[in-house]
Amino acid sequence: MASAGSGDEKAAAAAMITLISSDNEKFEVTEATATLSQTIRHMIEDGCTDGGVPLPNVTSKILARVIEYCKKHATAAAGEEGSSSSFSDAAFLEVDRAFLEELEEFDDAFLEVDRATLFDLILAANYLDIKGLLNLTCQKVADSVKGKTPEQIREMYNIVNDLTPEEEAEIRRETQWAFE
Amino acid sequence: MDESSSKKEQYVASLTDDLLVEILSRVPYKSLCRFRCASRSWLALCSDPMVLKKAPKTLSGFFYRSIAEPSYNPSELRHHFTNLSGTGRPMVDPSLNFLFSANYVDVEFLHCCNGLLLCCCEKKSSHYGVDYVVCNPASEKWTVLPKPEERPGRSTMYLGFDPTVSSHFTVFVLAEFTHGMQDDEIDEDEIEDWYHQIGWVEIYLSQTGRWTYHQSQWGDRTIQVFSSGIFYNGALHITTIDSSVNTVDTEGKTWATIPTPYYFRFMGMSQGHLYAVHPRRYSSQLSIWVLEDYGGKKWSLKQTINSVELFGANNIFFEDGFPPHVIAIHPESSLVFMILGLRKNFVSYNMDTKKVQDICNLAGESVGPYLPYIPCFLEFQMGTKSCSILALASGITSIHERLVQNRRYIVEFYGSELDSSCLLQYGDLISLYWATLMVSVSLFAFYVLSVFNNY
Repeated sequence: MASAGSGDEKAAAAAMITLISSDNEKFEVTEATATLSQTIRHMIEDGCTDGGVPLPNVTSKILARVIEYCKKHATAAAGEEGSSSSFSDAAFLEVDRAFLEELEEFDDAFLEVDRATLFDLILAANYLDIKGLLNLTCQKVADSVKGKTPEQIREMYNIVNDLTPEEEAEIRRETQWAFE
Repeated sequence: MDESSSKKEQYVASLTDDLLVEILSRVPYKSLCRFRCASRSWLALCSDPMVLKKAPKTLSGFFYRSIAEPSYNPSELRHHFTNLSGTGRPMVDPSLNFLFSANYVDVEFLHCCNGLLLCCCEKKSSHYGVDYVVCNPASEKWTVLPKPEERPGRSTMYLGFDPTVSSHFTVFVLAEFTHGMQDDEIDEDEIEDWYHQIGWVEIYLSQTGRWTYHQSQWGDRTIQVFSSGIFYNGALHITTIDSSVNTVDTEGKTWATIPTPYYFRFMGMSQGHLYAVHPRRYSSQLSIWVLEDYGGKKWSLKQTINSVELFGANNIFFEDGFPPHVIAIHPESSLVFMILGLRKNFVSYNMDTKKVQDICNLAGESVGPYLPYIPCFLEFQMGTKSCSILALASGITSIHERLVQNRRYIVEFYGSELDSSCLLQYGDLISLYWATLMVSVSLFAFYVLSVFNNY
């Protein structure tokens, strides 16, 4: 029993993946962490991860953050699977709730970044195909723009208003209710 | 300063169109409307059907009516809308004035589905003449349905519309098999207790603009007048008192029966699944069921609300033995909406936190149906105007194609007009071609004949 356990651990330790950022920095991660990315999961399935996975679209700064997210969410996923058999229903629900709360707190803290980083995270999440991270970051941007005026949007995103005053007045008239 | 602004531009430009759609489809519709006057590219983005289609579904409120005391008089039926969005004006004009200004004197709500409302409107001009109208309260666009054939017996109407699949809608008329009560015996209080067997179903497709008649293939299952019906997976689903849900598709071809553990008085849709609620009158419990495995037709118990445990022995959940009247489930969250007790307290129950929250006290004289309303900002279409629809569709696709192809989204907002004129010109060319062909054929024949004659 004990030897089987250590054997599993060995297997897990052996399954490390090296990710290489655009500025050539190397990151060692477990397979469970890396496979949160569908892109990397497919590469592992195709057996082309020996010698590291080059990610030419992701800088080391962003990759470090992405890995931080994946680590947290990979343990969350593992925790869910492991606990379902060992707790009675009520106890499981309790643990589950605490876990989800902790995860939510982590996500909130994770999103406390400047706008440029947030956009880089969206691009990385899209490129690496990490659904949870893409949802999280897109929702954050959506939340930051909702309720804003057109002027604030232009200011935030450095947009030049190329509508003529007549066109703008016309659009405003059509959507008058949205300004009330 | 220069550096920071160029950096800003850089990261906005770096987002692909797919990602911008991904982001904007999470922004409430009201904000999208405001952003349209930020610039040309934002005008195109915030009007893009892809964005509007994916936009969060908001249950903005409920349509219902009330009867002014003391006498029953159709002209005193008033229209109400409970606004769930809290502050500000509701997204629609609940009075539906656009129908009243079109010479209707009374509007009765029949069914509501994904932003469209099916009403029975009484005409001013002819005595007791009615029109069946489908309208979009958000855009105030409406259309009168052709009259379904008059048949004996009572019938119930349901509306089917799923803007994520098609911009066309369907209307179902379910009518009873044979004998019915006489119309003049209608007693409002008793209506809910009427049962009937479905003999036939008449289906109207806005795509064809026609009604088609179908003999029911559900057997002798019995439904109630005002049985809970919902359009889901491209088919009408309706609860029967024989512990089943009957389904029929929009073409009247596929008929099915899904067994249910109880007679579900209420059925709704949330987070992609069918939900149903069963009140257990004698144990003061409410059980909530979900059909997670649609193909396997297997309902699973989501939760049992024990009202005594939650609120103590004398709670309003089952006041005087009356079970709560469940009227909706939130399309995106775990809220169940119900009306409690004789004073008609309108509340929401949160399945996650198990908390009840008061919304308002509906007027005692309010009458059902209470129709949950999720605004839809994509316009429905009628098949009869095929030419303009083609033009509109090509206009929309061209906007979308350009969106996908160009980073800068230079889009002609009124592109649809251009496209329709292009269509006409194309049609003209074809007829010109045919005319030329006919003329040349006849000239050739004439030439052959004249040569023949010379011999």
